[in-house]
Amino acid sequence: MPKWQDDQTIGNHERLWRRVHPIQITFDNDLGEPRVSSGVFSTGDGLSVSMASETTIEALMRNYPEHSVVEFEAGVARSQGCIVVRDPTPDDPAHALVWGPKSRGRLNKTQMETLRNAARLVLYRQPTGEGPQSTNPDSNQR
Amino acid sequence: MNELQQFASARYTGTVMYGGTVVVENVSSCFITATVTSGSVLTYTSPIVSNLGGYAQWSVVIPTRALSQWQIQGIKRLNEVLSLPKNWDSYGSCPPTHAAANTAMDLLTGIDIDYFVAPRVVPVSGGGLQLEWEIGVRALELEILNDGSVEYLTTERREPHEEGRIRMLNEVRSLFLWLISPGSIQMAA
Repeated sequence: MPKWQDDQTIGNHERLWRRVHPIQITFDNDLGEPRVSSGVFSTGDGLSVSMASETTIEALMRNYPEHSVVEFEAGVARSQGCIVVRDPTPDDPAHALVWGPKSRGRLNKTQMETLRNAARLVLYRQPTGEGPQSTNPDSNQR
Repeated sequence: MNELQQFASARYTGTVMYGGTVVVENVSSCFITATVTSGSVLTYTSPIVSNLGGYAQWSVVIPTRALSQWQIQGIKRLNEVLSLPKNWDSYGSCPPTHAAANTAMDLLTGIDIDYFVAPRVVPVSGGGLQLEWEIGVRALELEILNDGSVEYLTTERREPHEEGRIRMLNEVRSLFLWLISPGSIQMAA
């Protein structure tokens, strides 16, 4: 865990945004909508996010024309045992970290899956070129 | 010298070893796919050439005849992920590491199940990647960390079921069997 503590000035209803690469999104035939992989919430260190109340989608996406944005509430991360801390950067004053219990702040797999289930795409850009990967039953053939 | 050795020697410098898997070292140029015409002694059709982790000096040629369709599709998807540039995630991540790519290849080629579903292959920030399967109401995720170690998560009806670390390949086989067991399909019906 980092030396800092959970920042209670970040409310549980604070919406946290994270950019998502197109290859991390698949189309869910059951839901009829795109869905992100739980891998979106896995990082080598704490999970980088931006606080929605302190930035805009336009600012977040200024240099990233192909990425989408996923959103979840800080309270969901806390309910899974994570802490949320401010970590402003020159490029993103609204930058924050969701810090998990594993080494270097990684989240465990259950936490990632819970965030995935709670998250929604607030900006979805369809990938260019080939469509997203699917687990097509046709690929069962040898 | 067999056909694949000739192919490798003609285009790339370095040592060529072969057996189940052909390893071409010191490759002089980057490539993702290649084709070898079928030959007399060994028949290789459309070999997959995997440019692991973007390292041009180390690639693997796999005779696809030895693989099932789901494995071939998985390796092709792995290649897509390995070709990602630095900062692909917009948070400064490197593409999947050499260690992660090697482990992914071992997982994809080491399971002797002929008929299966090709995994989704998803990059993970920090140099890892994830293989994902979903059958009926069950799903399996194998996350390969940047050091090549593997963690898994199983879910049922999208709720976390079990997570842990993978230490041996036969543990993956057990997870596959859980994934395709009758309960998965019956619950979905």
